Amino acid sequence: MILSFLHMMPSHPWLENHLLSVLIALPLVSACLLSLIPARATTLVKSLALFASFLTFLLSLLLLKMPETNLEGPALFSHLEVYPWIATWNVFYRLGVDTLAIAMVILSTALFPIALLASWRLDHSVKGFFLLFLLLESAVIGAFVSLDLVLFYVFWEAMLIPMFMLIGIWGGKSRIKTSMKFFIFTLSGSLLLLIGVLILGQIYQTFNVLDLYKALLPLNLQYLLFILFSISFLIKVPAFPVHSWLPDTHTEAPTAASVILAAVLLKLGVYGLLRFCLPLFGAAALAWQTPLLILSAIGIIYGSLLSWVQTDMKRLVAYSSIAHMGTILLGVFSFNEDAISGGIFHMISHGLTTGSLFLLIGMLYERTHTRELSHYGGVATKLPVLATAFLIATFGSIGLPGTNGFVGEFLILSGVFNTTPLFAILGATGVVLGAVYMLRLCQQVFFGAANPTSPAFGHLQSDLSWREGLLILPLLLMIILFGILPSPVLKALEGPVHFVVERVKTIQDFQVKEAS
Amino acid sequence: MSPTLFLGFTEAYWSLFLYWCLPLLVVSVGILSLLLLSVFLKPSHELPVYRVVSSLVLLAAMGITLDRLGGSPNFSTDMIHITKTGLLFSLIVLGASFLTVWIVPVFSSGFKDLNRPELYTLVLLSSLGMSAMTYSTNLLFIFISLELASIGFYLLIAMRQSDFFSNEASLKYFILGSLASAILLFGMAFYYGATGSLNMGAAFDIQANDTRLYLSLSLLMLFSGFSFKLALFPFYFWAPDVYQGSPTVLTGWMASAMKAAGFSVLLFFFMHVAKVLNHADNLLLVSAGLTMLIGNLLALKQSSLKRILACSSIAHAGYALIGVAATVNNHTLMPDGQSAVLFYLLIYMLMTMGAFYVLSFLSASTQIDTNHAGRDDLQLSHLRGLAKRNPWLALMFSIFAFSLAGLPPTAGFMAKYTLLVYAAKQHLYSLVFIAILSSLIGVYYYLRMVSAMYFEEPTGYTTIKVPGSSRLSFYGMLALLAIAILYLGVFPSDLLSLTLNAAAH
Repeated sequence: MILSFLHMMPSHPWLENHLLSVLIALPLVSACLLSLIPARATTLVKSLALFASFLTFLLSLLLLKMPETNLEGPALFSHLEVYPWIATWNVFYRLGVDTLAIAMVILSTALFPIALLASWRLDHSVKGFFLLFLLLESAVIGAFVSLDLVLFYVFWEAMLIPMFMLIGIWGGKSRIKTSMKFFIFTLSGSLLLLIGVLILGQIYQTFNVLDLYKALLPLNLQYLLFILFSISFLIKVPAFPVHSWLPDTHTEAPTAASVILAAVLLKLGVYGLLRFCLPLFGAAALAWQTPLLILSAIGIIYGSLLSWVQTDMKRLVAYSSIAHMGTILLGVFSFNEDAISGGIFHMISHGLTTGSLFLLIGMLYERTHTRELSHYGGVATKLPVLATAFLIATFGSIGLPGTNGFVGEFLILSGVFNTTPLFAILGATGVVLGAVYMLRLCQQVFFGAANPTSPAFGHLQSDLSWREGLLILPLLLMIILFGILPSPVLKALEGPVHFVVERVKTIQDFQVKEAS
Repeated sequence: MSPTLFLGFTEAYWSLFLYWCLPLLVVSVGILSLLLLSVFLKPSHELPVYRVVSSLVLLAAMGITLDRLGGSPNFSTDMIHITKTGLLFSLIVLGASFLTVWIVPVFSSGFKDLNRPELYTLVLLSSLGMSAMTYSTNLLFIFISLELASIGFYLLIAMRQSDFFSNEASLKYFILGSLASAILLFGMAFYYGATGSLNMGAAFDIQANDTRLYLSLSLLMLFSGFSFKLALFPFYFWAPDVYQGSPTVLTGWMASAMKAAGFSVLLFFFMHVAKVLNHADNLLLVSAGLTMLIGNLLALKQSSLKRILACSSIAHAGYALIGVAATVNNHTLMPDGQSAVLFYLLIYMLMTMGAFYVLSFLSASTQIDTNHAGRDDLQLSHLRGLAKRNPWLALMFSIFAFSLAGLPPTAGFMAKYTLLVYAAKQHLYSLVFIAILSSLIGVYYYLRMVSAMYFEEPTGYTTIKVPGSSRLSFYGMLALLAIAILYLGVFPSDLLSLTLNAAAH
């Protein structure tokens, strides 16, 4: 239905051919425009930023209109754009998307307007906030769509500065320490990635991902590069044991930044693994499958257990993110088509559910200025709409059938069970624990009796405003829609998933042949 | 029939000399005319006229150098040897000098004792010395040029007579600098002993083993001497003290212009001796690695902004040395490494000048506000809440800080990346790794400055305004520098091929 609607949309050949550049440039140019508006005109600043990000979202929907298949069968990548950038090093401005990238881009562009709308009541340094958000959006989209390693690296690191500023300026009490920790942690990973890019470029004289997809690297090199690349991506995911920046960052970051961090930035780590690590260094990934699966499983159980004992709502959800990302990694490292597409689907659904959880916690916090679980109780009777919304998001998060969380988790676990049953069992404990900690959160906050001595008491007067409802509603709808109707997404993802699995097999076969 | 000679040289020689050395001649004439002008000018007119004349002289020299870069150098004598690389290095020197002359009035509105016409003459004199260093492969010529530059430095650092630290810094620099010069001369004497010539080209002819020993001694001494001038490991101790004491407005100039001149000589020298001496590249590797690490580690604990930037300049010298190492590694010359040094130092000049623009300005305005005992030494705490007191200044400074830290999308990243690419090409992976590690360490103190400006609240300072009438010139040039940094971070291609082209000649 949506697709047929898209086909009716007017198409413009220039826009069609430069769509990805436009998507990158639109937020960037709007940020430049924003800087020219006087800071006092806050409403204008907010509206322009919101308009720009919403327009980006609408344009990104054009990506769903897939081009015709060419003679070689369905092309994996579409919307290719190639321009020379730094010719002396063979570095190109090379963009292109497969359905995986399209899914991620649309997830990002959809969440940015929501995050901006959620920050509508921000009262200090408004202009800087919206400006940095637009810069962040541009960098995020750029990272998802670039098919040149150097270009990817530039976008990948360019995300750090806006995020650093967002946490540092608008964050909570220990924002300075946290923003430093965030920056140094992620930068140390990025720099390893840089070494990897340098080595790869040095040996192959090309940074073109599409060319590298045809190359078969020697095994030793694969091991080295896999370490360099994957540490960087695993820090971003974040996987155990390099996760410690995430809870701090989430706790201190402003709501909108938390939403984007959980829903979009973490996904870049998994995206990097799927885009670069597996298709380029598949043999190394296969050789280390067991340790990687163990790390993912530890992430699931450790994250869940820690989430169980948290008393701060945001921290609780942050640890649950570690558990969910562990589940996704479990799916990715099982090298099974079902599990990987489940993993990608779960990335989308984690973005939607955790995004809405952070938004709703932010709304509660705006009213009460506390996130302590013990300060709450009986919120459901006072704010029934918010409570309902929160429950739907929770159901999505714990994977209740009928919500999107179920689809992803089920696919991952059944896929993993086919290859490594033990890890499927470990992963399934995560699902059980997930229900435990999320329901504990709901029970404590929304039900039971209100605590009259708590600072939150008496501040829960108004239910969701129309603005808050407007921004949470689409997320909740998508949680349910994807739960009932996951097949279009899963079908669209078949291409890239199949490619990754086949590519890993090819690399492995080649290694075996070399060895014999 | 012999051609007519003038002062012992043919007419063709003189015309080539005039053509290629015109930038140096322009600066020399500029210095002489400044000295003469003071006879004719009323004291009240002196400062503006000096400023305009020296700016014009430097601009003219830069323009001519740019023009000469289009041709192919064909002037090479025993004393003067023109190369495109050398011309580009001299362009960096002249550019830094021009930017310095431009900003002096803003700074001296806070520090009145810098309102002296000699300042311009001395800046030009040092620029002449440093530019001349890039024009030659003759050690004697280089030595004289270096001393010319250094004498200007000694005087300029001591320019603020009322400031104890300024005098201390000058004396320290003078005594240690003289020692370094003595070591340099000693090394040159050994070089002469080994090769029978003071020209770098003579090293190619060395065959016998015993002369090779003298040559390596001379290499060690020359490298030590230049290590001092460039603040490389282990001769970097003076840098934080001297930077802290010298007038802020001149610090960035001394850091970036001296680096360009010194690295030009180091590059030429190593390119000439590396084929003969096997261990020359090891010396570079060790020095580069330790300089990067120590520079960045030293900066972590500093609280004075100028000391932080001094340590950062040590670290950056270490990065640039990677390029030298990449040029001469494995006894085969690779011009790419040379281009990386050029590219790096050019961008380093832009971002350092930018950072020091902001600091000079802050220092001057703090001086006007608080009138505190004439110290010209800002602490990290002075940056607190700068984003609220003057958002533009904070934005500009953070662009320069991120660029110095080497983060995309600024030019600093591209510059560092260039060095690493060519180091990787020469399989210097140990250096790549150390460079990455030390820039990770370095990021911390640059972030500390940004964090002080944006994340902390201002303490007791008022809004900062540009003193005097120089608002437009200050902000305009600052914005140009920031735009250049961002532009080169996104589109480095043209500049990169310019430096590659120069290095390939």
